[in-house]
Amino acid sequence: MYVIGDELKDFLESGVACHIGTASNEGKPEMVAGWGPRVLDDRQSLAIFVEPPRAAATLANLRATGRVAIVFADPVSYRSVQLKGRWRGVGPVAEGDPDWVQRHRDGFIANVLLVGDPANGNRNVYMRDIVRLEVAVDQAFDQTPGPEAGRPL
Amino acid sequence: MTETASLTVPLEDILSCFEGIIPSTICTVGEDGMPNITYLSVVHRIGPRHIALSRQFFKKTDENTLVNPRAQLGVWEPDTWRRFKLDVVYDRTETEGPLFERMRTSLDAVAAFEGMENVFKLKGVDICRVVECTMVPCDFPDGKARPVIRLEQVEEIARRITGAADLDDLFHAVLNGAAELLDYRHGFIMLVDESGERLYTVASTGFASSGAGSEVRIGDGLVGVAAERRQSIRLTHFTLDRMYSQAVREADAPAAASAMERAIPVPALASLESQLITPMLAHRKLVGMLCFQSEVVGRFQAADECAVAIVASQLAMAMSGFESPVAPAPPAAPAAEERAVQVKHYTEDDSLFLDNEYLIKGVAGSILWRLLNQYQQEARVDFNNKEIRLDQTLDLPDIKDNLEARLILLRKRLEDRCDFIRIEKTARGRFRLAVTRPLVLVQVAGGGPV
Repeated sequence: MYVIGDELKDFLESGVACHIGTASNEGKPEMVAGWGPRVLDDRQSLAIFVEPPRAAATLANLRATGRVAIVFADPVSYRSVQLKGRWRGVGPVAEGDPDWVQRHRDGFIANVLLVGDPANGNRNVYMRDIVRLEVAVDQAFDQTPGPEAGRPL
Repeated sequence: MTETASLTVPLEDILSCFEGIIPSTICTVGEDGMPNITYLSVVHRIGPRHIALSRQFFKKTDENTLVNPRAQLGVWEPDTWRRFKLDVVYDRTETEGPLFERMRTSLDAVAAFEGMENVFKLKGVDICRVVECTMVPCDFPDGKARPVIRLEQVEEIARRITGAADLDDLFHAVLNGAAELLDYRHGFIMLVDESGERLYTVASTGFASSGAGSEVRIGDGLVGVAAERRQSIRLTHFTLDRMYSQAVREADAPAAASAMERAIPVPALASLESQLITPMLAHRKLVGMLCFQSEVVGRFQAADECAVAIVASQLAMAMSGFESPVAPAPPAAPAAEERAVQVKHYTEDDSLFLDNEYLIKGVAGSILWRLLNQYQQEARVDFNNKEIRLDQTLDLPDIKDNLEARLILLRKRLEDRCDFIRIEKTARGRFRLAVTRPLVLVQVAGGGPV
């Protein structure tokens, strides 16, 4: 298990871009956007939300293999971290979760606008409905572009 | 889906996803079945069923594709933020050839600009076959039509090029034609100098400062690298490129020393986002570079690159066709009675300074020094191109269009730097030196301080 420290927790819960990677039993990769990452109290797991219309293959893969990778990238600094671990299940969306997810989405949009990404169509970035996933974190890697990309944290 | 069936979303319908405007992601799977995601600055579409990825910092991705060639790419369409998933199969890696060279040039140019030539090294280009392309569900799935470049617009610029009376007219036809017809509002033309080692700015439009006379060494920076490789370079999101470089720099080493300070800055927008740099080639020779800039992210895309390549070739070919006939000149205008301006000429590099302010150097400096001497000693104000071309003391190289280009540069530089010396075109191949203040000419042995 990997223990997430305070600094990394702050980074993961900021307005970063999140992508969740899974694979089928046959080795076919699948990606989906993740929203509202929240490091759980044990510091060894996190909750993250996906949109059901976009996540059918991801959920099927998680049920089949349980293996998951999530990359978090700051659109402004390019700092990137990848966590790898195991899916712990789909949890209910709690009362504060939609606000938490929206806070993350707003932070992400603010970041991409800051670097000059086109603003006109960003209504397509996310969808309203969400499902909560929980992931146990086993490994963390520095994924920031450069010769050190891939270094274990 | 079989690999011979058409893609659900044809790649040619989502071309703006392949411009590097918004970073893409790639997911591969290891031998142990564990997925891995990496960011990519750009996914290049190289055909209806093939894409190319630059191999720079892929460690795990490379390991994974060796054992499992399947990958999924996520790309964004910038105008709509629609997201598309491309299921691909790794096909091969190229380490040479036209595609590799083209991608290497783009990478090297950004690296040269950022002073990171030793970090950004293209190791190879991974070619992948696209098995399927689908749109990720979203609330507003309709696409948005991009403005297209019509052949008629390019033809009209070509028509203006063929109708140009002289080089100055030609540069005007290209820059103003591009602004009016293609909405490229900020452009400049750099020509190769007589040494073949440098480019100098001869004409520009749409910039706060004309940049006339600014120089770039071939091989240095964005324009210099593009010139050296004779390749077009298209940047679509300069802020992102800079951020990316900064991230790599912080991960690697302190910044390299800043580029050499230049006496005259090359034209540049303060909020530059997109840039299109195109070599002007004629008769297998590099004549110069045609450059356009924009403050809009993703302004120049693949079709723009094609259109400008046509215009740049036309411009280069047209430049070689101009001759400068001799003709009589009208009388001169008298100089006004004001404080004398010191004109200092350094013999080693022919640099000229007006009251110790740098003006110009090289061939253009040498020409102006000759004109000013004849003005002082013989009260001459009217000149023609041919006499200057034949003046052995100027050591003009045997390049037919060099003189006229240098005169245009000199005229623009004078317009930028002072209001008391002007070069005014009086007829084809003729010009007048208009001086409105007394001058004191001082010759200094050695090189100038710039």
